[in-house]
Formats: sequence, structure tokens, C-alpha cells
Amino acid sequence: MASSLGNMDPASMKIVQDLEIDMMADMFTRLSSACHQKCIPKEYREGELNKGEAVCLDRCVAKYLETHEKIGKKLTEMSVQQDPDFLKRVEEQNVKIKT
Amino acid sequence: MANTMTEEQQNEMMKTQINTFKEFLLQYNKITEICFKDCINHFIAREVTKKEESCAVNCLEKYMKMTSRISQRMQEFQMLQNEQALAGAGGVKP
Repeated sequence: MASSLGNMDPASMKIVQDLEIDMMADMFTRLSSACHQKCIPKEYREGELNKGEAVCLDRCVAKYLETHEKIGKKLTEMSVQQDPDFLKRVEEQNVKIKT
Repeated sequence: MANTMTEEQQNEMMKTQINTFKEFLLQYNKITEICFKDCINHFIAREVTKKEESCAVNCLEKYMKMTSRISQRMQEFQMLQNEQALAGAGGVKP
């Protein structure tokens, strides 16, 4: 998304970029907490990640991100249903971005 | 070099440093919480036992490794997405 910020003035561009960074950081925290809970057993006999844990984490990250995308799409769909102008506004934004 | 920096730049640098420190402290608290919850389960004695301590140390070590693995995988995902977005944009453009 950051790559598509076309002709915005630097001030609002900075705000959007900062927001995006904050959102990424927030997602990272949530993802880490979720995958830790699901993949790392509560006994810590060693400090190394074992094979099973590592594979679990990789899949957990992939699934989390995929779910994130799917929900994003669905949420957009639902927003459109509720408010038909939503897509129009997004399109306007896209036009702004592409030019 | 440092003298040529404007006040604004110095402020910006200060902000980033404070932010980094803040992130560190937040992570510190988070790890303490997780490892305390997972490793300290009974209160027969007042002191942290050897077993609990090694559990907590392993917990920290594992947590750090987990974090770096997750961030690596997320970056890979992001790079893939950026490439796809670029390819898509390139295809659409005349």
C-alpha cells in the first residue's frame, strides 16, 4: 500500500505511512501472541525452537496472514453492501493514487 | 557531522531513539508476563527455584527465536506481495 501513495502532500503521506507502520507493528504483536499460544508448549526444557514448533510457527504465520487478507476482502464487501458509496470512495482514492 | 544537523533532525532522531527504547521496554514486560505465567506455577517457597529459573531463561530464548522467525516469514510474505502488486500495476499500465 505504501508504494501506491501517489500525489499526496508530504504531510498527509507521512501520516498514512506512520499509520501503516503502526498497523504492521500491531499485527506483528497480535500474530506473535496468537502463534506463541498455539505452537509453543508451556514446558521449556530447552531454549531452541524444535522442528515441530518451527513448522507450526511457519504455518501459523502463513495462515494468519491469509486469514487477514480474506477477512479484509469480506469486510470490504460488507462495507459496500452497507454503504454503496464506499466503493466509489475507494475508487476515487485509487484514481488519485494511480495518477 | 553532528553539528551540521538541524534542530528538526535532532528531534526526529531523539523520537526514534525513544521509540526504540519504548519498544524494548514493552517487549521486556510482555516476555516477563508470558514466561512468568508459563513457568511459575506454585508458591511453596519465596525464592525462584533453579527449575523455574531455567524454564524462564529457556522461555526467553525461545521467545526471541520465535519472534525473529515470525518477522522473517512476515517480511518474505510482504516482499512477495509487493512483487505481485508491482507485476499487477505493470500489467495494467499502458
